[in-house]
Amino acid sequence: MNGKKCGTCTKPAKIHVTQIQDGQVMDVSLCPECAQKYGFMAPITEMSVPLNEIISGFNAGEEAAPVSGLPSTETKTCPACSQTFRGFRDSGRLGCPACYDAFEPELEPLLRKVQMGMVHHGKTHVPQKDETSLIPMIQQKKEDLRQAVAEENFEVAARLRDEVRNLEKELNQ
Amino acid sequence: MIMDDPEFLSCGWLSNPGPNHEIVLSTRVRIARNVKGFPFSHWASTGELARLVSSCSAAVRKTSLLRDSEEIHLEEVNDLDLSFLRERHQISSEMVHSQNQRSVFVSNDQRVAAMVAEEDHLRLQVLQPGLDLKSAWGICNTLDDEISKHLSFAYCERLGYLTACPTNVGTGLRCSVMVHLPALVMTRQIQKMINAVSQLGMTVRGPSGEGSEIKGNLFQISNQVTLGVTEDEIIERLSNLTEQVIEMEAKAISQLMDEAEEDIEDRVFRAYSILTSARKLNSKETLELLSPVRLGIRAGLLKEASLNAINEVFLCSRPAHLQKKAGREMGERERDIFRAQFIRDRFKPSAC
Ligand SMILES: [Zn+2]
Ligand SMILES: [Zn+2]
Repeated sequence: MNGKKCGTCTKPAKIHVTQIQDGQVMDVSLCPECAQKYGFMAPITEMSVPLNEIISGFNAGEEAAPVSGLPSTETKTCPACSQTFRGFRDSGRLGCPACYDAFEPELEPLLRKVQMGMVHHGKTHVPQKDETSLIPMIQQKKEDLRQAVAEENFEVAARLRDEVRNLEKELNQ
Repeated sequence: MIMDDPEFLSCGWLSNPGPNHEIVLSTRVRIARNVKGFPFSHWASTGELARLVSSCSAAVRKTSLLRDSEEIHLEEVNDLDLSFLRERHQISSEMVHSQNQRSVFVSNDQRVAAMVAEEDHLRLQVLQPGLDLKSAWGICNTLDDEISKHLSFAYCERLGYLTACPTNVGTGLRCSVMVHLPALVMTRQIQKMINAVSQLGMTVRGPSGEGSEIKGNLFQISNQVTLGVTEDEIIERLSNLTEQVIEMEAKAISQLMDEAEEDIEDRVFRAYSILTSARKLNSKETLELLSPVRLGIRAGLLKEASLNAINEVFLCSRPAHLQKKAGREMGERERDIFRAQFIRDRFKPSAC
């Protein structure tokens, strides 16, 4: 198949299809452009979720008119995990569940574009109160708290201390 | 070790006929879940990841479906095993590249898998032969219920299950069916089908998600929307859509048989002869030959081979599957020879 040329232009053929014309089965070799033109292949955007394109492209319009005084969308940071909105756009991944609140206005147009509604209609999750579910979380927060204290990051430490207290209260209920 | 167990390596689950198996090879359902109180996997520190993995693993171990399953630690297996799991969709391509602390639980019948510390903390997946979304979702849902007894997930009323990528948020549910559509390709209706499908919040792509290249006329149809719909709606819409695609493909086959039976027959038997007598076959050629042979069986032209055997060969003739079968790593040339031998054996009259 190597070196075969497109049946309608001179570019190298990449797609080999079979078609029926007047009751005859014919093999046709086409370049990707011609294949698309004659309907043998869907444009790439329709064949797969162009996820990164959607994520990196959907905010382009808003950036043109930044609101002065407010932090720009690019540098907006999630207070819980310090992932930036820019980081999300580059990687396609949020940093933590709290990012959904932190970037709510920025995520809205994306969700409108790829989803069918803005509110969950599916299965409900009843949070578990047994040990196995809360203990690892409390351990984690305590670990983070130790580190924050060691780094003299007292603002974060105070927040973590409250969170640990609340979780422990929840556990003992 | 499980990765050398012949039972585990076999593709038995795929060769059992499922509903509509003439056109639908397999059904896959997976849900994404994250543990409350932790960053997403890629953003977690080494310590956080370790705690996450141990609490997820402990919860998976408590389920009736995966209690006795084997846990495969990805950092402990070699590249060939990783490719094998990838070919089976039991790990994502992302996990192939970063195995640190990641693991996957696979049930003994290979249909149920729990992937730990993937893009999301936990991904639960069920495979079924044929078109069987309802039962696959049923199993997946039960597994989720059982795990939910031991883990609190990142969940909010407004957005449902919170996932690392907003394209999975809400239900976290992704369902897909692998369909074989040679007649729609030959009769040039495939583009029409793809356009129609993408207007319904569904996606069509070539196998293994490798972009748009059409290989062996196999296509994967999956839901794109995860938020604003219920799980049952997703399942029902994809089932209905797949049934319509099946109908289109069946009609296209009758059309082909009416207009050009001899030509189709010629192609089918030529492909079958090469497939069953060649001494060297590469993967691309194999897929290109399997497609008309499969069409021939469906159209009742070819009685010598069974659809079950073909479905199995589709998966088991892939590079890592072959090398696991041979029990050693093989270069391309050796693999092509081994593949031809494997296919000849599989299509021996007695083997079908
Ligand atoms: Zn061309
Ligand atoms: Zn965050």
